[in-house]
Amino acid sequence: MNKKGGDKIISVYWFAILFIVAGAVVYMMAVFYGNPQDVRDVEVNLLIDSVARCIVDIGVLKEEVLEKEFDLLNFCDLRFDAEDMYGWKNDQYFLRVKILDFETKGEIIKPLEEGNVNLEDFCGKGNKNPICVEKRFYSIYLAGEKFEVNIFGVVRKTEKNA
Amino acid sequence: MLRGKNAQIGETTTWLVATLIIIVILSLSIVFVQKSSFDKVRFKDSEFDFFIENSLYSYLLTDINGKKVYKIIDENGIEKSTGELALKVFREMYLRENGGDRYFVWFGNRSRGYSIFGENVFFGQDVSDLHSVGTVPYEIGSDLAVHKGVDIGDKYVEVHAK
Repeated sequence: MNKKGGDKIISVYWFAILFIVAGAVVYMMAVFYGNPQDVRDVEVNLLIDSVARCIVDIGVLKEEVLEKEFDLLNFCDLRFDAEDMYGWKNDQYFLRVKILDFETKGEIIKPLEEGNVNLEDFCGKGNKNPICVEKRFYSIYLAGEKFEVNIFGVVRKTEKNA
Repeated sequence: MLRGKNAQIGETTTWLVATLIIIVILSLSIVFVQKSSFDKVRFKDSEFDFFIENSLYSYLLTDINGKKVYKIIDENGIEKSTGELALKVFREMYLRENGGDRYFVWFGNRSRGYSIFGENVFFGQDVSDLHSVGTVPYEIGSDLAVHKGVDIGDKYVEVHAK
C-alpha cells in the first residue's frame, strides 16, 4: 500500500522534473535565438568597402571621382533601397566620401554625400541608434597629388537589429 | 515500522539531492546561454586588409622628388624621405581612424623568411609578432590583425596593423 503511494509520488515528481527541464530548454532556445542579431556593423563595413574598391584602382584614385558631376551611387552601382517594412522610406543609409589633401587635410572637392544626412546626429549614442563607421586610406592621383580618402558610412535599421 | 521510516527518509533525501542537482545544472545552463547569446555580429573580413593594402600600393607609387617610392626603397632601403612618408601614411593616419582603435601599425622591410622581429628608426621594433603569418587578416586574441607585404627587388616591405 505504502509502496504504491510512493510510486505515485515519484511519478508526479518525474512529471514535474520533465516540465521543469522542458521549460528550461524552451526558455534557453528563446533567449538564444529570440534576440535579433545586429548585422549593421557588417553592412556598413561592406558598404564602405564597396565604395573604396570602386573609387580607386590599385592605389590610384579614379579620374571620374574628382569631376564636378560625379554621381557616387551610379558610379559604384549602389542603391539605398531598404526593405519595405517598419515604415522605412529608403532613408536608412548615409554615406560621405571626403577627398582631402594629404598634407593640409583641406578638402579637394566638396564631400560626396548620399542618403539620409540626419542619421549622423545619432552616431555614438549606443546600440539602439544607427551604426557609424569611418575608414580612411592614403591614395594618389594621376598627376602625383597625394590624398587622404575618408569614407564615413551609417546604417540605421534599428527596428530590425537593435 | 521505524526501519520503514528510515528507508523513506533515505529515499526522499536522494530525490531531494537529485532535484537540487538538476535545478543547479539547469540554472547554470540558463546563465551560460544568457551570457553567451550574442546580439551583434562584428565585421571581420578582408575589407580591413583592403584599406591597408591600398595605402601600401599608393605609398609605393608616390613620387618623391621625381622618383617613385618603390624605386627609392629598391635602391636605398627605407631612408629619411620614404620613412617619414611611411610614418604619415601608416601611423599618423590610421591611429586617427575611428578614434584611434588601431593601436599598433608597423612598416618596414626585411629579407623573406627572416624570423626575428623587424626594426627601423621610424617605427621602432615590430613587436606585433605578425611576420610569420600570411597576407590575410587574422585574429590575435580579440584583436583583428593585418599583415600585408610586397616584394621590391630583393627586399620585402610589409605593413602590420592591429
